[in-house]
Amino acid sequence: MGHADPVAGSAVTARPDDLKERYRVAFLAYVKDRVEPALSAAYELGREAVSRQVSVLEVAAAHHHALAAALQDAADPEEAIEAAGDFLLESLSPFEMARRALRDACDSALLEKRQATILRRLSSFLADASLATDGKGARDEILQLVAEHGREVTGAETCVVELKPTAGERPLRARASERGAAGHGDATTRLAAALTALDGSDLGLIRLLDNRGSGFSELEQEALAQLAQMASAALERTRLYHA
Amino acid sequence: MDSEGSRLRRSVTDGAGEGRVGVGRDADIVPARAEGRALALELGFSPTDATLITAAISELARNIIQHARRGEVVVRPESEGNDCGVAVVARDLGPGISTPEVAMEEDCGTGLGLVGASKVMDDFAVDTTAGGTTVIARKWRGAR
Repeated sequence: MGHADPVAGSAVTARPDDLKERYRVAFLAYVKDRVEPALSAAYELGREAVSRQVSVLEVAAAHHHALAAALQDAADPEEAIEAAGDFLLESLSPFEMARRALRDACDSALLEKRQATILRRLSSFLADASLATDGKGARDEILQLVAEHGREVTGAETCVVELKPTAGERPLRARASERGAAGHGDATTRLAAALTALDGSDLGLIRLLDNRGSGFSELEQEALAQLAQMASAALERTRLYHA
Repeated sequence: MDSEGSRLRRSVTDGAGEGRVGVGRDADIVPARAEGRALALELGFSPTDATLITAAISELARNIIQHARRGEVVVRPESEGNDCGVAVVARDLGPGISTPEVAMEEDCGTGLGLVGASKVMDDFAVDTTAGGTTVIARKWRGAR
């Protein structure tokens, strides 16, 4: 790993396992001259600690050791303590970065797990629905199941599933919404996925409607795509079963 | 992530100004950090947020050195409504990272690199073309 600091650089590249000593040298350099290169050395020490999976407690111990050393010789203890605050922020900022990345990764993993559970449950329901005795009834049930699970798996306010009309039949439509029967014409965020038959022909559409400012996440977009595939397969199975 | 033009904003032309640092070696990270920290503090960011902006600049500049060898980091003030922020533009001069997704997946192990920078900023967009890669990251003073 490179370092950017011509002042405290020797402290950073010295014996890699002696964090405490290198931290002390770099900190004393910063107390002496409170400039960006010396602060950069603190960041590099913290970054190296994260990369090598050194505990944040080791950094805390190194900081305490360095501050104690600085205070022993300090003409102005208050200034040394103020410098210690700056230096500690820098050395811990890579840990904060990594903590946020870990938190987001955990959130994503939990969300994926929840989505998988919902889609597994839907798969089971769709298998039963597609084998209903009445073809139209089966399609109605499939559309309603997909609309309800589409809303649940993405957290969207409204999910609408529409099936194009087949010969002699009207188009079918199902809707699940936290707004009840009220419309959702004011939706600012929309996402759609096509329902497609095995031969590539267009069966219909799943639409998500919401007013969230951030749009739908990648995970939600992937879940909708998977939902569309499952719905398409169930509708095809129903068509073949009732042919 | 958003694109640069997806939100209505304007560059602040009075008061704090733009800083531009060429990046080609590790030592260039320091002046880039100094520019970002000075601007953040001038705009009234807390020392903690100024530190996080500086950390992001370190990672973006390091990314240029690792993947493209040469580039530049620009820090500039921006405003949106009543809020103001710091925009960091890290632009390399190619060949750049082939796919930002791969580079970010590589960073996932440690939580540093582009991934880490994206976590401490409010907006983060990566645009890769044949001419190089441009990362635009912003942090807003009132966002968190």
